[in-house]
Amino acid sequence: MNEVLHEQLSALVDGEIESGELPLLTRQLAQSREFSDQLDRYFVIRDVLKRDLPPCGRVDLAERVSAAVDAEPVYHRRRRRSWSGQALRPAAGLAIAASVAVVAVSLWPGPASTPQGETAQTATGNVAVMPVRTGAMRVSTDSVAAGTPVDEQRPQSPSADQWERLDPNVQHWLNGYMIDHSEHAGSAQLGGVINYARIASHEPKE
Amino acid sequence: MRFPGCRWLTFTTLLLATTGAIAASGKDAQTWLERMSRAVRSLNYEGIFVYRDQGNLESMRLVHRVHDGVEQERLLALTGSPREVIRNGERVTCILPGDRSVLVDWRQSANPLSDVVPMDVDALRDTYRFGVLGDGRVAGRSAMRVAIEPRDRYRYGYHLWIDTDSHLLLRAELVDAGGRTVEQLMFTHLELRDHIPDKMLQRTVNGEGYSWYRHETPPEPVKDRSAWQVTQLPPGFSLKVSEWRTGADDQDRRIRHQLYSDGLASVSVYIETPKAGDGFVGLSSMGAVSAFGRMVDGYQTVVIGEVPAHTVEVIGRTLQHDGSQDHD
Repeated sequence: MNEVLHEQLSALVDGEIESGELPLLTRQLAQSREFSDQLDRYFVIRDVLKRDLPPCGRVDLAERVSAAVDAEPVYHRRRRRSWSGQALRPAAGLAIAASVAVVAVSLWPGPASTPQGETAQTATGNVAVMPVRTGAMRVSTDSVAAGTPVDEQRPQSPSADQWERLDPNVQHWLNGYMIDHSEHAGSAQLGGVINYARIASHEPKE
Repeated sequence: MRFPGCRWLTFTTLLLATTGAIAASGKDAQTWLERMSRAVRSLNYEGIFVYRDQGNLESMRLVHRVHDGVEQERLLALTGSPREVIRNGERVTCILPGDRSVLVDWRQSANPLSDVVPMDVDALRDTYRFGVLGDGRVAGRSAMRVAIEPRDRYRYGYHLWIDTDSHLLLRAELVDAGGRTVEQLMFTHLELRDHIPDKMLQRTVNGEGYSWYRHETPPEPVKDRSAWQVTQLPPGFSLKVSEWRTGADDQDRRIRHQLYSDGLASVSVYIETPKAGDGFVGLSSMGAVSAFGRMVDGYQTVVIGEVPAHTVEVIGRTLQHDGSQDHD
């Protein structure tokens, strides 16, 4: 998603979208799942920062989520409600809270774009991601010279979204390992919330 | 009047004072971490937090209580599909609607890094620096900022905001050796409760029509620990666990698991006979979690951990098999 679309979404949540931009934005929202997912997130985060979520365990929330899960496809139903129920409400009431949320999200320092930048000293050569007919995903490392000490190999910065680009079967398999590992993770000493957030944050992409 | 030794005396005094301050800061950090470690397990609370890793931003709700001496918690994703992690004592249930799957696992009570034991800061000083950075404020609550900085690029550090009142964790950032943030978690609302009703811990999805995966049998220790060895372990890491596990989807699937840790960061090595298909070869990352896959002597090996990609790759590439049959 490009920056212009991000800005338009922010403007929409802020209630500051130009009337001329709205028809195109609406069409894009209808066509792009990523786009509408992002809008959904902006709204929920706005509500989180506004502390406007229903109390935990309230039946209406549970029922709402259950209904969304029981219906297929899950995401489409949720998004439609988000879009029609929230995005089309009068913009004026949203402006202040949304501004706070979006500004907070914008200003909250984001993770480095190449968090393993320094780690690049040891990694492999060119990494190519190629779908394999069996459904598995192979990440090619064929440029690595056999027998070369790890610390002498050429640098590379692995793309952080590779996991989500993997074949769903491989993702599922790796997720099992990740969940298993999280039960051993040393960061559990800081409370399980970090490990569990990692698990729950992962959503397979279609 | 000038005293020749005065400058040295001043320097030495300052040095001692600085060293003392750092030591005190490290000691203070340990105290805060111990308090936090106890609080996150012993208190009843609910909160909303925002979790962020690369290209991913999620809001989540957390409920935690101790009931009849048993720790229970529930984490629910508020964005996207309603993914849930529910823990009841040792039992952990992960509900993943996107995969239409439910995974039930058991916490490793024999885990040498057991989270019940407070962090041993002294044992970590070769690989991390500890310090208290000062006051902060998160979710309307005053906090103390504690830093755990990695001394090299094989592990991540933590910046933690600990509630000065309840000692709960309010905000956490994982940072690499260059100080760059790779993963963040921040509460926007946190409330301590005297009582948390059962319904707040019940799962939202009943799991009907989902694929259920369960680990039915506990891990068994590996007898031949030398069959698979890592010849180039990053500094500070050592082998903590070597065990056989069964697959959650297939009880006949035997997986060798070796756990390496520096006392805070941990890396798992999984070794198994490959299933149909090409498996996983190469590097992949998701937030602070990195994975590296490689085929060795016909076995699929996967190295995974909350460490930089560099670290799993070094371990994965120097993992060696002695050629023996792997069925002890």
